[in-house]
Amino acid sequence: MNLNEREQQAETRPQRPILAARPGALAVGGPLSRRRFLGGAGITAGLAIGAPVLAACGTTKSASGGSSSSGNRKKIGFSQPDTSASIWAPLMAGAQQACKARGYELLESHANSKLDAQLSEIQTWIGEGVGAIVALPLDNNAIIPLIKKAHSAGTKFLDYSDNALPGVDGWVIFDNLQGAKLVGTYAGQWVNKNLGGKAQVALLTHQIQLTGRQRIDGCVKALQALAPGAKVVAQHEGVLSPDTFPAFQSMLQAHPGINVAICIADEGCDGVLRAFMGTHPSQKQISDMFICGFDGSAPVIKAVGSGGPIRATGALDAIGIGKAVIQAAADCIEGKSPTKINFPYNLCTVDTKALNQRLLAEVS
Amino acid sequence: MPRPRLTHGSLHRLGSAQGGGLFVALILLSLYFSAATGSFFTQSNLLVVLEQVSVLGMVAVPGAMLLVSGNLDLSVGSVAGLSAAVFGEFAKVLGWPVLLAAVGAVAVGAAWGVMNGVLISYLGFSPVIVTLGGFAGAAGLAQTITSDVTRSGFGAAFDQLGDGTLAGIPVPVIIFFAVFAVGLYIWYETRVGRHLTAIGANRDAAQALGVASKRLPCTIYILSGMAAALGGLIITAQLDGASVQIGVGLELQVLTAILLGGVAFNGGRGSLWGTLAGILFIGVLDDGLILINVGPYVADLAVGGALVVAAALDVLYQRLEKMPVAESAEAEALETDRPGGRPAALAPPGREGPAVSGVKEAGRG
Repeated sequence: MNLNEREQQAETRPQRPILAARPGALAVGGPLSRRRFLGGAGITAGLAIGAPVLAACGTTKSASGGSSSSGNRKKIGFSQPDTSASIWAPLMAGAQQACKARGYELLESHANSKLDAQLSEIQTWIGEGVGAIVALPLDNNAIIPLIKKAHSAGTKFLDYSDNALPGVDGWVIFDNLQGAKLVGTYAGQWVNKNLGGKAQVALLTHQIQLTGRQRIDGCVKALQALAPGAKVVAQHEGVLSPDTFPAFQSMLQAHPGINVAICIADEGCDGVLRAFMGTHPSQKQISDMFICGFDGSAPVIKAVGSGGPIRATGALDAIGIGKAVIQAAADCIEGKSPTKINFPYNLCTVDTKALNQRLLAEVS
Repeated sequence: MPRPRLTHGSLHRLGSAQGGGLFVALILLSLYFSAATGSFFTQSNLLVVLEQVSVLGMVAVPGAMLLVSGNLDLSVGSVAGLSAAVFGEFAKVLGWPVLLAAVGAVAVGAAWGVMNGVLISYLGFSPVIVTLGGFAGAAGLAQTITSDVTRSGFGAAFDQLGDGTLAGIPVPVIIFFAVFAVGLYIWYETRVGRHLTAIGANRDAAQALGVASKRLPCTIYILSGMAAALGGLIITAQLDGASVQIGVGLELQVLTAILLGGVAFNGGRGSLWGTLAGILFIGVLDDGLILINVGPYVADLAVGGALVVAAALDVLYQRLEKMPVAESAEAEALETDRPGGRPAALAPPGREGPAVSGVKEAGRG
């Protein structure tokens, strides 16, 4: 049926009020009586009023408003949007501790790894007139205009994770190249010792982010410096296990001999491991597999300690970083120093039991 | 100059060309990957492809039924994540037995489907708005429940749901085949399939003919929620981790597969076989591009291009449909070979003329 015929049919039928017509109407099936209209309007009004009220009940203290503009200068927005990362909780715990010690209020991210949501929350904080914003940019270029906007509003802006943003007031960054070299060197030593210097390498990457590029490129460089026989045979984007699992399944089909997998983050290591174990490998293949990642998540540190195929992670001291974030931001606001903090990675392997236990205790 | 006259047959052929054309594209794509890499046409890789599309496929079956009836479910990805999260909390925090936790998770999916179905089918809310709200709401609820903590370690028995095999075939693939077979039966062999198509073509006309235009879509919304929940559980079993990131982007994959397969976005036309072609097309493309080590953005580009071609065919179909239809013997046969002059929309879709034409006749009657 074409549109004209539908219109003709509509003309021959009893006309219904516009509100009752699909789609999106409050009521269907018959004329919109006053009772139905009021009922529908009541439901809508109830939802419109109830949803924000319910939402307000569930919000963190970050949403507690009512402060004056000067009061808002005692707030620090920490836009670390990867809230599902296992280091997120200890990171925030460290930030909360430092905030309490220095008399600031912490505003946590609700962006859930979505760029538009991150931009929106940063703009809200700028509008609120917070003292400082520390951001892990999901897209560097998209964040840059907000730095100027923040400065215009008297808000300090700090970079987090990698020093990729121009014109910032400070930063808390991870020494990605140092961490990548640390993990890559260990991988190279392991390949030389266990695989005779030859390996087929797969990369699970996150190329849009500078941290991602630095970790992977640095790791491969360090690996191949020690073991030139290690060749990269497959590469695919994938950070979290739901992404790395199918990607590594397909990689193993193309290259069944893959025996080194470098993940951009620990959150993807388990997906890689599950895909590998899904091929029902022999004991020899299991002992010849090397999987590594970065961040130092609790499951990966445990897996590393157990001596399985996940053999290394470049771990970050999440609580320490959380504290440093607030320290740098508060120093910026108060005109003190240091405002630029560079955090090193720690290498966790089966041989670093004491370090593993300390980090596990923190993360847990 | 006389305008070209079309027969019902030619319209039908064009309609089926959308799904059939995709099958041809699928074969060509498979041949290309086979030539490019020796790893593609192996038994193990084909099983990997099927395993990777199994969750997408089992969610796409009720999804196609919804779309052909003029409805839509954009909440499936988030419902999959919510079910996984709820399962993790039930099993690990509340200490429920794994089987009970899984049943509870599927019940949550069903409950979400009930909510969608009631709001959309009975209260007349917009499917886009309600399920878009569900897309955000279910994800938010999952994060609230779990505080973004991933639960893991559900035991070897539960792992079988994602990693197990039966006669060498992965369990998720078997579940997908079972869901698809049931879908085929419903779509082509029962009145339900015909009625869904009729609802999508013209809801009022279908209702006037006695079709349950509210109850049927509501039921399919419930099935959609349950399929999404089952999908979430399968991914949880594959990863042995109930992450809230499970199901992210699933709704778009499902919609893409269905539209690629030729189901009209406004409903009233489409086939489940075409949807299968769409599902396999996405799976083969994703897998093949990894095999030949091409970046993921190329896969997105290829799927986007295929989707535009599918949309172009859809527009072409609709334009041709508006042109005068020849009173051919075929057309007459379509009208007369049904007992009591039964409208084509109520005949099994895919076997007879385009459903929308049939409803046009029903409207006249």
